Amino acid sequence: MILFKSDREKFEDEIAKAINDRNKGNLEGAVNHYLKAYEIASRTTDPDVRKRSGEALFYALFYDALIKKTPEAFSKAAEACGKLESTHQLDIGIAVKPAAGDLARDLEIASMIFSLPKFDVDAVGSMDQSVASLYEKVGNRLLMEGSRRLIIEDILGIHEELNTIGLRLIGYSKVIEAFRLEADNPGRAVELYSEALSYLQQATPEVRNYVNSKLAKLAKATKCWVCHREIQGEDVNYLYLPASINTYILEKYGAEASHLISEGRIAVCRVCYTMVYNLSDALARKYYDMAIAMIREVEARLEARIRSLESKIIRLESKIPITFTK
Amino acid sequence: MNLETIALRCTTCGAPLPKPQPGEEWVKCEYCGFLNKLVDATKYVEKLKRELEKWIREILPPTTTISTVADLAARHQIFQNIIKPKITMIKANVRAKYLQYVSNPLSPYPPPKEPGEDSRGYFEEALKIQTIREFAVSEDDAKLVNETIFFSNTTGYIINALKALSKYDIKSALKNVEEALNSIPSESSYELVKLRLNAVKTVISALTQIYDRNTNAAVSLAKTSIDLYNELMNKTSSTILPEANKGIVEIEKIIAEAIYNIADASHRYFTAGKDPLEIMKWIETYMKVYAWLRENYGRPIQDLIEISYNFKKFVYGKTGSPEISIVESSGSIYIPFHIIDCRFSYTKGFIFKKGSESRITLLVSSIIPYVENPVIDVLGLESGVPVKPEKISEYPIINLVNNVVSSAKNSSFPGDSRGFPPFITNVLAEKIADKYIEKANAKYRDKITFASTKSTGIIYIPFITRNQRILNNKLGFDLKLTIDFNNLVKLAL
Repeated sequence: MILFKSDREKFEDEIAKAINDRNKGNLEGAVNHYLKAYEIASRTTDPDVRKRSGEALFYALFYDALIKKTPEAFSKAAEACGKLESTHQLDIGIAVKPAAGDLARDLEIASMIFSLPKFDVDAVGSMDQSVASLYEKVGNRLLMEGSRRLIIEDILGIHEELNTIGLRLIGYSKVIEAFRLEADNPGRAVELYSEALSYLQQATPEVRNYVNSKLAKLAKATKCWVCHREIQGEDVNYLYLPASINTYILEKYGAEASHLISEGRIAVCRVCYTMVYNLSDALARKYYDMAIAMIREVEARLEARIRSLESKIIRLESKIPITFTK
Repeated sequence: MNLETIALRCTTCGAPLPKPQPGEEWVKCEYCGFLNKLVDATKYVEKLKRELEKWIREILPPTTTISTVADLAARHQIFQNIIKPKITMIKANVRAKYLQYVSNPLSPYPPPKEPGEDSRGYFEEALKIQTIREFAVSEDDAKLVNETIFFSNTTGYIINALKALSKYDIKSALKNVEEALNSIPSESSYELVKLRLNAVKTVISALTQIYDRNTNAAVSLAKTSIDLYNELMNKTSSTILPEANKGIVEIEKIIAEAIYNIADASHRYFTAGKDPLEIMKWIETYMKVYAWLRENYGRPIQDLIEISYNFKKFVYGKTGSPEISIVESSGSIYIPFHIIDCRFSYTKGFIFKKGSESRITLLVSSIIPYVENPVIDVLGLESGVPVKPEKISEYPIINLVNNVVSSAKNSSFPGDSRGFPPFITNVLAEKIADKYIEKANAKYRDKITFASTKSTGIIYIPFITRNQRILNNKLGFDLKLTIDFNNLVKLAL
């Protein structure tokens, strides 16, 4: 009768429990059992079990990464995987058994992908050059992987070819760079947006529409109706203001420059617009202050008048005796 | 400013028309294919000349419009003060449009959307600038003028090319791309653009050769186009140019590779004594299916390589080469199926739950979207109570599928049989298998915790038509169609 289990039996028990938990979808439980198996393998004197300690640790870190989905967790799993013999086949529950060397490479890539901020067209303005550089760096790394897909695509839900993802990431970096140059160098921003469009062939329609609309507006060059200077970039360096445009104006001046008149509105450059805006703002402020001062003056006069009338009433009240009747 | 030399122009696209033969009343535009009545084209050019004269009168001092200004200094002054600001603005606008168009693939497949504007405005703009060319005296001014003309003309030709490609008018597309290529200045800064347009031209030329039944030349041109793209890929890795960067070059190269497979298939078909135009007709019909797949499943352009490769193997199989895997059975119409190896883990037991796992082989029909249930229902989801995950190995249809898969042999299609080339890729087949497992999971009340699928190949199974909407075979598989077989058969070869 065997009273105590050997290290090998304990190790196999923990591995079996870990696989059982993994199959049940209880990844935390799987991580726990793999860690216990790792501890047993690390301190045992049984050489066959001892040499499996690295594998047990890898599984623990791998499932931990799947729970946390952080770049650090994937990086740790990649490191542990990289320490195994590169041809050793691993069972991670997917249809194929990947070699450790290949899986380590995929985990490094996963770590990079999870380190990227989510690209959102509404948040482009808040992304700085460091984010653009990160997108470009990861994008170039993925391009080097060619048209292969991740081995763990089913687990991560990333089914695209790596170079497709890479091109898209480079496109995002160009969009961020272009956005930052819109006002200062619209010509270069147009170049960057069109470059981005090339890279974003496989991006979502939302992103492509965003870049297309940016390009369409930024690409427009015209002259200012007020100062007659050439200006490029609708909504950035010039905007359209409503004006009374009749057929005479349209025929006489409409062809003076492309995009000069659009849907009954005239192009006005940023400088003229802000000049008119600030001047009208200052004028409005001046008249507002004048009006307020006059109101205050009237108010003060009325107050004085009310006070004098009140004192008259009090005086009159003291002269006339008032009796109250029930 | 000699406006008399302006040649006849197409009333539709604005491109120059060829010289009409004496006595002819009609001239066909080589760029958009429109048949112009000579009277209309003449009227259009006269109107154009009047507009140009008006434009020149508006921008130049009155004396310069009636006499040639010989004085270089005066011409330079006029250019600097009056013309340059206008041209700078025009250049900014047309260059941006040019960049927008060249940021998209200039390739025949998938056919591009028809541009929402006409090329005429761009050709007219180029013509306008040409009339005041003599005022650009200095090198910089001449460069500005030439570049503006280049951007305008090239944009015009590209719009025409895209319009032609959207209608599979490959010859007109080729003419426009050739012309765009000719309009590129010879400076070194345009070297990559030139190389790219040359690659585009070679790809389109390959297709024109198939349409002309010169399939050998088509294969050779398609191969050259891939080499050109490889050269371009090497050059674009070190330079940044909006109109020729690795993003767009990569996409066009993928399409060139797909066209190489098509050219190879056409050549094989032709050498087997068949008409390569049947291949092109199939491609044109299939492109509608491809557009649907892209829209509904968000499939990337890379799919074209695998689809065209499978198509090529299918054509080889049609012409006697044992390139495909066929299941022997009776039937005259061959349907492709993707073999999907599926591994899934699940929980079993009620109080003491345990984790377990299973493997099954799924067959996914590749003629999506024309079958109701593309996955052969091995788990019995459609027919009442599904088989329990732990009893899968005992279920007869699973064994039947395994037997069918293992009985498939490398062979070619027999005699005059017809078949469908695969419409979808392995990845999409895997996705569809995933959906099937999800559906099974709903029936198993979420017992499946994880599933992974891997495509391992394609087999062709013969079917017979029971009626317009049902195909069946002796193996016991039925396929319900979503359209009448008579319509579906247009996609068979």
